[in-house]
Amino acid sequence: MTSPDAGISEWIAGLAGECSVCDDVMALLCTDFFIPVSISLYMLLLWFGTDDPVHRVKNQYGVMCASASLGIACGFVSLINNYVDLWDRPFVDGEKARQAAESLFYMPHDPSFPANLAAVAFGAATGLWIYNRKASIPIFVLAILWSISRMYAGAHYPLDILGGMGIGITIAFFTYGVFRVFHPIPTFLHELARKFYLA
Amino acid sequence: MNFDAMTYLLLTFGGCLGIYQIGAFIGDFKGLWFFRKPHLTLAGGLAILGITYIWFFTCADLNMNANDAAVVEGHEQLVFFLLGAFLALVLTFIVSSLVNHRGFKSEAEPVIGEGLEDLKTRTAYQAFSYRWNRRKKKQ
Repeated sequence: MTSPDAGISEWIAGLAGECSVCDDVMALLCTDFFIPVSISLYMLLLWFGTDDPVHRVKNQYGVMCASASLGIACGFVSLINNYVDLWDRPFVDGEKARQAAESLFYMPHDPSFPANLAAVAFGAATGLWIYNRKASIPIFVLAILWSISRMYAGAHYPLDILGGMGIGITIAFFTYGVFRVFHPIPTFLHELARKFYLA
Repeated sequence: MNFDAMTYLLLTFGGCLGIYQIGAFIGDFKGLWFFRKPHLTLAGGLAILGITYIWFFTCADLNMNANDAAVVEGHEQLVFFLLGAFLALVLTFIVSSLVNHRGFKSEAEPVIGEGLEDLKTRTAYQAFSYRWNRRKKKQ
């Protein structure tokens, strides 16, 4: 079965091969490593790289919320994937998507919907946004680039991305709620990190 | 641990090592600097980060998860990232403590109990040992 937005997906994947520079950039962005590692390193920089102690604590709580959202979103999507497999990946039915996946990425075996990458990246971005809107902008940019690159590489439909994004954002707000209700837990973890000169 | 996992671990290790130096420069944590001069610390951090990224994204097999025996996806990525971050932190504490040991006045009363703030005027070794000695004296 194909997604209702298969036509849009095929059009996006059809852009692959038109411009070699764009292909190289997208091939780098869509890997399993470039954007997730960049997001993680950016959060690590936010954790350590703030001179003002008050501002730093705020960023550190934001990073804790973002990291928790990222982890929960990843686990939740894996759980959904065990029970729901709405449609095949774009490269299974689309000729252009197949060519794009072969040349830029690879052909993953796990279900297409919802996109794990979108849930993880938008979850992290929203978790940080709740605490520090300005600092979350780079993660939102990386999340959007990652999503576009995976559609370009014929690995996801736009609906997969939207589904993942919705899950990630919802989980980030849920995580924030948990942080507020069970505030002694993040406070304890922060104090523990402080004892080891990590916060 | 297979070759791909080791390569990814080196990416996270090098990336975190660079980020700690950049963060130490921005946060003015002199006790974590690898170099006495601030701009050298920033340049060193950027160089470590840049070299690691260029090495990994030009040499490693970026589609290493394509086969069924993929070992660096999902939660494995998180585990390896945390391991790389931890190893980089240990190395940062050791190297910066050795480099800056004589840079701070050890007879001055250190600010202890502020966490990272302490590392603006002390190395990690000095901060840990001061706390350890104080605990022993209390006992």
